[in-house]
Amino acid sequence: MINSILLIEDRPNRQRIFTQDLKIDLNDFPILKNICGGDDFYLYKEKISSEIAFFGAYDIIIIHRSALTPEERALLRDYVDVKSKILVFFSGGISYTLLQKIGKGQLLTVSSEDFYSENLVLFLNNSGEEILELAFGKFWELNMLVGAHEKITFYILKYTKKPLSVVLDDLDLPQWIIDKYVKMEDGMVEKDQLIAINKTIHADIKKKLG
Amino acid sequence: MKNILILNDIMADNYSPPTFFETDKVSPPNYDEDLNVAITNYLISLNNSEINSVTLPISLSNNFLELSGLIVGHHIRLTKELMYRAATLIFYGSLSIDVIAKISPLASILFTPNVHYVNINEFSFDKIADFIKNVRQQDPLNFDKFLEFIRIDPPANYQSHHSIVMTGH
Repeated sequence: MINSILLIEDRPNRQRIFTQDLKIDLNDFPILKNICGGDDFYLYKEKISSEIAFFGAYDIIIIHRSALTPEERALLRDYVDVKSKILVFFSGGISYTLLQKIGKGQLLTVSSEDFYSENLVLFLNNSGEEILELAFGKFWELNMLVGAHEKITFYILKYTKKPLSVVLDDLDLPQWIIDKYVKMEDGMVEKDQLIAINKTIHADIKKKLG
Repeated sequence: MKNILILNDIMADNYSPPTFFETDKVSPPNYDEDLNVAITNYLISLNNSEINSVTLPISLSNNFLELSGLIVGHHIRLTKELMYRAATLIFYGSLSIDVIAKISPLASILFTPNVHYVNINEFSFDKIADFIKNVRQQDPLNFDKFLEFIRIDPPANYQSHHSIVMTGH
C-alpha cells in the first residue's frame, strides 16, 4: 500500500532535528506521505475545513495538534469516527501516550518527543500495520500480554466451567496470544487451566523485561 | 468516610466489588484534552467528600503501559488542593510488584508511605476491604519524604515555546 499514512507537520526544523537524531529521512518511506511545512502544509490544513473527503486515501492521519484550530481538530475527530480511521495527535503539550477508541476509529495522543522516536521507525518499517508500535514501540507486545494477563485474572475471579469457545469469546484476546498460549482441545475449560495459562504469560512478561 | 474504588475498564464490564467500596470510574479525556486535565477534574470533583482510602488500578484502560492509574496516584499526592491528598492509596493489579517496578519509574510510588500494592491473584477485594478497616491511623504524611522516593521528569516541552504559552495546546 502506497502513502496510506499521512503526516502533517508545520515545523520543518523540529522534524529535521528529530529525524537527524534517528538517522532517517521520512521521505524515504513509500507508505508515508510527509507534508512538512511550506505551502503544502497550508493546503492540507485548509482541506480539513473545505473538503475532508480529501483524506479518504489515508488510513492513518498524523498531525501536530497545536497547528490546528479547535474546529479543525473536531472535524478530524468526527471524520475518523465515521470512516474507521486512526488519528494521531502529537504535540509538545501532550504529557502521556494515550490510545482511545473514538467511535469506529481510534485516537492516539503522544508527545512530540515520543512521536519522533524509534517507535516511529519501527512502525514505518513494519508498514504501519500496528498502531501499538507507534504508541509503545518495541514494548507493544508486552502491552498486549499484560492486558491479556489482567483480563484473564479478572475473568478467573468469577469463573465457572465453560466451553473453550465461550471462554475465548468472553476474553476476546488477540489471535497471536490465543495461538501461543491457549493450547487445548475444544471442550470444557477448568479454572486451573486458566490459572496455568496466566502463569505462563506472567513468566513471559518477566522474560521480556529482563 | 468514603473508601473509593476506581474501576479499570476490565472490572467495570465484568466484576461487582464488595459494597464496602464506593465505586467510580475516571472518564477518559476527550479528544482535545490532556490526560492530566481529565484526572485533575475528576479528583477535584471528589473534594467535597471525606475520603479515607482510594483503591485504584495500575492502569485505567486496557492499554496497560499507559500506567494511567499510577499517574492518578501521583496526582492525588501532589495536588495541594485535594483534601484527601494523604489518604491511604491501594493499587491493585495482576502482576507481581517486581514486574511492575521494572516497567516504569512511575512504579516507585508503590514504595512510598501509606501506599500499598495488592496482587489480585493472591488477595480478593473483600480482603482489601478488611485491610482498609484495620489499617492503623497514619502519622501525617511527610511529603518531603514522599518526594525523595518518586521521580517526576520535567515535561518534554519544558523551556520550549510551550513553556511560556499557557493556553491553546
